[in-house]
Amino acid sequence: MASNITSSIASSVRPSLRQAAQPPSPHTPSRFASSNLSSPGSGFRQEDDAVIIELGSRYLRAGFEGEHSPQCILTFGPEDSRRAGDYRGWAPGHRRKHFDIEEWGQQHELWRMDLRDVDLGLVEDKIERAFREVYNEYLLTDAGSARLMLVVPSILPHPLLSTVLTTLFNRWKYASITLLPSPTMAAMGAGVRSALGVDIGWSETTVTAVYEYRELRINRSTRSMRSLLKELARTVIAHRQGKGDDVPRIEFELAEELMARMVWCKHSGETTDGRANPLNGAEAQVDSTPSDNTDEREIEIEIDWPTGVSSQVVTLPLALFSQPVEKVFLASDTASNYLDDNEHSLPMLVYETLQALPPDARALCMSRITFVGGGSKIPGLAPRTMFEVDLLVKKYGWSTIRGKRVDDRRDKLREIAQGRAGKPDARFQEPLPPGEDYIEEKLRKQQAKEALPVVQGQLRRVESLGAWTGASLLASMKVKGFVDIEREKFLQHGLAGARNNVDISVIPQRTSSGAGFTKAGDERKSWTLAGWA
Amino acid sequence: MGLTFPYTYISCPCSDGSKEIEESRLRPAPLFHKKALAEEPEEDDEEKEEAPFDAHHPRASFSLFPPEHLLYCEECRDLKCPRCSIEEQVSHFCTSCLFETPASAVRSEGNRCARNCFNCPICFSQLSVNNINGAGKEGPWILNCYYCMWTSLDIGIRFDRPTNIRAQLDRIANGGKPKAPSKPTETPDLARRSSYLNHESYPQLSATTNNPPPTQQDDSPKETPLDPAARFTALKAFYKNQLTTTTAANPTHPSISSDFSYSSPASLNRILNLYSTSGSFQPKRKPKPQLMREALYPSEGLLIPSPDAATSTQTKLLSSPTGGFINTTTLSQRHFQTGPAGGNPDARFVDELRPMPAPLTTKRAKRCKECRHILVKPEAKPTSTRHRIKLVALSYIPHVSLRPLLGTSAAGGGASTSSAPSALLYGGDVILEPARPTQWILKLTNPLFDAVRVSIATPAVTPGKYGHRVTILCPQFEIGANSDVWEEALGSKSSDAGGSAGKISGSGNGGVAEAGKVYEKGRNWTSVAVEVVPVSITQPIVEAADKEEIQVREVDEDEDVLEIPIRVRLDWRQGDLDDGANKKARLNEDGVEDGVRELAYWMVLGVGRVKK
Repeated sequence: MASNITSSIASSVRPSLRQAAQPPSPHTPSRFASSNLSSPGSGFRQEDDAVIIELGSRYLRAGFEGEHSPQCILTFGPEDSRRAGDYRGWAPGHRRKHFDIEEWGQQHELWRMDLRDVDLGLVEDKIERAFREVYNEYLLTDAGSARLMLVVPSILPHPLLSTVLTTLFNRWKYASITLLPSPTMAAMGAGVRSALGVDIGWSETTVTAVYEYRELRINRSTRSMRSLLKELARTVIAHRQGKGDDVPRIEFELAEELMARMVWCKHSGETTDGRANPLNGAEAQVDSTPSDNTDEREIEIEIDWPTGVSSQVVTLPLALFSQPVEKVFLASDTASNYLDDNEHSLPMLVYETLQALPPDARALCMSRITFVGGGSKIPGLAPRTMFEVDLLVKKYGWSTIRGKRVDDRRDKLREIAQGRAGKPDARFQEPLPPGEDYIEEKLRKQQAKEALPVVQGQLRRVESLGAWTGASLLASMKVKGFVDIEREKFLQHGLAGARNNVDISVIPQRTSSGAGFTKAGDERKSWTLAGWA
Repeated sequence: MGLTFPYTYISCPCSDGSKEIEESRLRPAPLFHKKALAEEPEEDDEEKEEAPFDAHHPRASFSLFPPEHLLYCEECRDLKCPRCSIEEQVSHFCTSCLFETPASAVRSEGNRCARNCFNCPICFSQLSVNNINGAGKEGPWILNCYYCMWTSLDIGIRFDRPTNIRAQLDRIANGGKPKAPSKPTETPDLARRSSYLNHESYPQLSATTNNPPPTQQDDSPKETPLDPAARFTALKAFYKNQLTTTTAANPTHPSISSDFSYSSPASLNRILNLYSTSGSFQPKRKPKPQLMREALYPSEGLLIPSPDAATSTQTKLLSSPTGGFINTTTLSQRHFQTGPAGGNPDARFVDELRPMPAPLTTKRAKRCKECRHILVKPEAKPTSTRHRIKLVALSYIPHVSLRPLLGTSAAGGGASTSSAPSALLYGGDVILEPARPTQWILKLTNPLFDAVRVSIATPAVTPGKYGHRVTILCPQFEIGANSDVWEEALGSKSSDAGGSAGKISGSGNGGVAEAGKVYEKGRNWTSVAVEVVPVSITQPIVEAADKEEIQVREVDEDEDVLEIPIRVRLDWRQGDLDDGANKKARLNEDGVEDGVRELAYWMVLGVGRVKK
């Protein structure tokens, strides 16, 4: 994954390896003027605050820079794609068509990453309507006048990206649109520079390793909120059928309410039926608190189950609502070696992403794990994932080699080694050169000079304010985005006009600091899609 | 759809295919080029034959608008829908107190009413400020909802004064305690240490502090974690501080320091450096930029979630008085809490919700997207409903109505639709018998002061899944001018607007549904007959995978609705009656004969539901 970051931060914060940090000269607190050509007096003529819009497959968040929360969250449900003037969704007694559980989701999504069954024209229509609503009802500003920053997933199919940009540029007079990747923004919103962003989204779960604001690696799994929703619906229906109720119908909306309100995750590796998780083995039992489990199993909750015009009180055990999480996210019913590459369980996904990282990046990322997305709201899921990852690390270390045969072979090697006089690899162990290792010393000195030691090497969770808020922070710092698409250029060539040079190096910019203006003019001419290319 | 039958929808010309051709360049090439295939056989330079409009296509619901939603641009001479007009905010006001907020104050108030208007967090209806004792001027005040009986006492909030509730509410947390200030309280020693450690001049200090920075273990446990708003402020301050520090360390760096004002010594230093370095030939070795560090302390916005946070949610979920389904918030309640002006979108339980200040609404002017001509301009005053400019499409395009034709045996012309022979009115819906031809009267009423020639066309078989047969018996006709009502009433036979055809003038009876003939004609209206033969809606049968029995799948919503797409083409010559616009038109276009207007659009006519 190429890095797609904002250039100016990156260039200014290059880790200095040999140079000592200078003590900062005294300074007055700075005002953040918008343009580098503004005279000091023109500070009060302020530019419109940038509008930040985060697009996901189900939700749209929109708001202004420098605010801690978006102004609104919009959905793309079936009620939102009715004709203008059709208000029957609000009419009393209105019943929507019943959909089978397996068909759920399509009507509630803006797009799918699988473009085979996506009508791009429909995506265009939905985006246009949503943006119109956002500006007219929530932002209360004229669309197109302020800068627009779009927070989008860091991998987005080109047809989708092109559709979004074409719609926006054609419909409104945006001078330019800045793209920001959501995993990096989530790291920004956590206050860290490196992070392992776990995004438990609607259609997929992604784990993105962000190192110094660059995306190093993305792993993804099909275990997502959509599958959780379906699984929850199936579980509840099965339970009610098991109790002898007549076959009830469950609608998408009810299932989603149940998912948002009642679903939770157990603390430890013990599954609902008391069977130890095959992944964890015996260690899982250590932390489990059996008293909790008995309590939870007894508690029943009452739910108003809508039946036609009225509703009926249905009693469901609370324990029922943790089963789908176990099954969907923790894959408790399948051994990990039966799973395909695209359906790893959540802890496995985190572990594998960490494992694939270079050791120094891994050390930083593993102590900055952020959970965002809809699934991060499930109580207990994030701690549970951390717990399981910890177990995995304890069990396997960071070695990729595992299995029965490996253990056998190791034992044998050990036996052989014991049989021999010396260590098997003794000849590789050269004695240390006499005297101090000057590199080591230099490194140690360097470390002492580092402002503050960094937490690394331990598993730790960091709470993020979310990708939208991260982007809001970034925009309020007046940092210029790297992927800044200008209107005229885009309308001329479309996405094909982007510079193909994906490799963004910050070094040339720094060396040219003397002639910064000409360089800046150079940059104007071409634009890049960076990571989205 | 959703409306009572019959109804009319109009598809704005802006969503026609012509626009898409222009845009297709920007789109990635489709897998197989449909257009190239389509263009080969018919290379007519005349109007390209368009595919008939499919009202059941999912995209159709985005391009169809009720006629009342449409505007008309005099310059472009075309219909304008909300998708092809640009909106400009004229004024901002609160819908519950009708007070206008100046545009400069809107943002700072979070786009919400800064007065005493609040919405209920449970049922979203309006809250009112009430005295807790019932009456009197003393005593605490509360917000309460007359619809669901929620009061702010439920979340432990009461106010000292009945005015300026919003400011008071911002200071009170749920439970009645004062809210933690949005600016985090910095633990002084931590803050000082972190700033000292940046200095090289304190090496002994940094050498001694080899212990890792505080994680949650050695944090003071009494410190409560910041709420998102406070965390945001802390993080923002932190980033700003870091940017300033790192830029001060390398003043020649152009990217960030350029944003600083000249009053800062760092910037002055940079400017001086610029001149000195460019002058000398051996540039000084530039100091490497200092590393911008990450947030390390809770006061800087870092939040390490405590392990028992999730547990407490779970125990709350379990405990009987506060837990259970009924005490958790619904999704819509959570969405309603979104916004920078108070509100708690993370609220999981009902007692964490906050009353929300009423959102402001705007009055907006509309401009044509192409020519920027103003189409609608309302008066800025919130209470005024008048418009300075208002070019509504309904005053240009004919008003369409549809009614069933009664049996050929004599029946009163003004008979109501309820006695229609073939269309049963059932529960507000018009139910059509499949495979039985029904005849309808399509009446077009002209709002213009000029006679309009109309040609309407419809595909013989409606596009989409079910092809209903539709025949318009008279596709071309004329509707008279909307002239003075008295002219007709006084029976002036020489009505100049009437046209030439020997017609039955407005009498109502004696209309004959005959091919090629107008059914009825009045002063400014004409009606023609339309014949419709619905096909039967077959219910798709799917076999359930696991069960033997055959399940009948439900028909899609509105799949059984019979909608006729009609291509309407109007042309008229603008008469001398309104000279202002006409004169302008004459000036604008010299070559073309002046005053001629054309308009073409797709209209969708909802007839009824086909019986299943």
